[in-house]
Amino acid sequence: MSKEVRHILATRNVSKYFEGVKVLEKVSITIPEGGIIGLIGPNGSGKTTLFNIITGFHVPSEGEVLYRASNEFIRIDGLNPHEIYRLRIVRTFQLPRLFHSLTVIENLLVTPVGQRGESILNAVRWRTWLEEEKNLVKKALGILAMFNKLEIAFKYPAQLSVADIKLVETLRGLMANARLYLLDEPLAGLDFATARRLLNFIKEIRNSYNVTFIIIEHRIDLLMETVDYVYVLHNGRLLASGKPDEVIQNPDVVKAYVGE
Amino acid sequence: MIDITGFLINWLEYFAIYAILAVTLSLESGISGITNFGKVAFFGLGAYLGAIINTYLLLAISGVDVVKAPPYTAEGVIALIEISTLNPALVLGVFTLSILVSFIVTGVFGYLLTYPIIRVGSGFVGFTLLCVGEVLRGIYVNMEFVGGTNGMLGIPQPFIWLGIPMLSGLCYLLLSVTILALTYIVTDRILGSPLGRTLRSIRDDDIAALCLGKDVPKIKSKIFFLTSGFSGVAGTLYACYVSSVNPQMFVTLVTFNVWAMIIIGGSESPIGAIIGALILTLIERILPLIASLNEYLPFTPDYLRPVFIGLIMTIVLIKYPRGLISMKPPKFIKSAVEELIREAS
Repeated sequence: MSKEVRHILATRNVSKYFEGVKVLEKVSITIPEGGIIGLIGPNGSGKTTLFNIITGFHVPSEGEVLYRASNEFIRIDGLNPHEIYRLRIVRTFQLPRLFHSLTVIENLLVTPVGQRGESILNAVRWRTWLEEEKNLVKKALGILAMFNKLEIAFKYPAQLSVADIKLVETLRGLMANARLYLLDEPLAGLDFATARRLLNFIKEIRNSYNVTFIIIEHRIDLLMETVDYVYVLHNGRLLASGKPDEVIQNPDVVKAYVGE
Repeated sequence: MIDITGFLINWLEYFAIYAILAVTLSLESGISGITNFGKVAFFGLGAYLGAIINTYLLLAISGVDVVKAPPYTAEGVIALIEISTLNPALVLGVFTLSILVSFIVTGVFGYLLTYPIIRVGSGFVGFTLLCVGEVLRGIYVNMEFVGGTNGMLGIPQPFIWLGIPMLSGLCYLLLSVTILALTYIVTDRILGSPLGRTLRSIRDDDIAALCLGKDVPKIKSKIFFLTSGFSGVAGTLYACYVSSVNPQMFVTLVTFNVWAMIIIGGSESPIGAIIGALILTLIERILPLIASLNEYLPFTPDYLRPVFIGLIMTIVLIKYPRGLISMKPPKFIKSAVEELIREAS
């Protein structure tokens, strides 16, 4: 008997129509806890739409999204993005969205939800939030130190390299104690060495915190070295799924990518 | 001979009132990214609330029949002058009440107004608020009990019973500066707190902030409660200082005057807003002096105001594109972090 896998997220027959255009059609995926899952497919296959549905930017036209909050599954489709974030699901965007007038450390410090100093009444009395703030600063510095990036703490995003920006975006999730990361094309624009390094960071984060990643990526060669399992979307439908080696040899997948 | 003390008191009084508006505008527009083109709506609402409370309530408490002698008639104004010189405790009490009421009412008005509209793009928020200012002015014009187009006169200045105009002016100035200081301290503390960081993140990218668990409309509306409340207080201070209100005092130009202040001073810094208010109110106060030399001037002084303000704005923006004072990172975080780095190494 194989060990039972705990799942963290599942979509059931999720469909999305935009004014009659079917963008997603009955997509069902399950994500095991602690896995690194790849989500691939040609342009326009609905990958980002699926992310948007999971993170609350779109409401699915049909179907449901289930998430294991503590021990039981709850439905999260229809919740607002900020409510979904509070369930410890963090996403990144195709184009990195760091806050440009905040330094790197502030970009990390802004992520934890429910900080005491975020209410107006507490904000004006700094004694109420000072202790918490110091602990958060310690944690943020610890995270930066872990990846040998202490020197960028006070830099603004405009002063960083693309690789560092992408790393900081992922580290924001770490700062917020995320359980599930949705990364949208984290490797776009990176050279091979940097892309490998970022993937290694992702593995490192997974191994030390037992968190789950879902990664959309077009650079399949690199992605396949990292992920445990792959879902392939094509024209809004689930085309194939399986271990990286199986998927890459699947004739349907090859056809979808390179044509007949 | 120019009365220098009188000029200073008058200028600093206008400065204190406008600086409250500028500091709150820098908090809501410069730091939180809510485009408020309707500053005058809250300023005017506060002024009218102050006017109503300081006249109607004062008369009613003193036993004058406000139906027979409403404050916008000559009888009402005469009764008000009598009361305000004879009964200091009552005048001060009612004035304090009016400050509190206008803070709360204007604040709640700002909150209820912005909560539904804040979800649309910031440009639309700006224009909705701009319209609200104009609509409110239309309402004042058509409300008879606040005097319609003529407005109200004889709103008692709360220190008028001191007898010496300069002394009562000075007391009122001290009070206004105290309220300005309070506004500044609150704004500055918010800026240096985790809330300030969250506000800046929302201004930078509200979608990303939403993805990081920030309830953007709620946070913005809360800030708007605070800033509108202080604007309302500034309005009450203004109404009681000039002792009158009328709809023509609350035109859209007031809003853009305050915008000019924060653009010159630096929109992300409350100190910058105060400096901007200092410069522009000084110009506003000097212009009447120049205008009084009308017959010796080779040109009409009426157009000097836009020329001056435009010139200053252009020069400042060429030299300092982000205003005279640009934002500095909060002191506390930097020092705490440096300390921790020293400990680690």
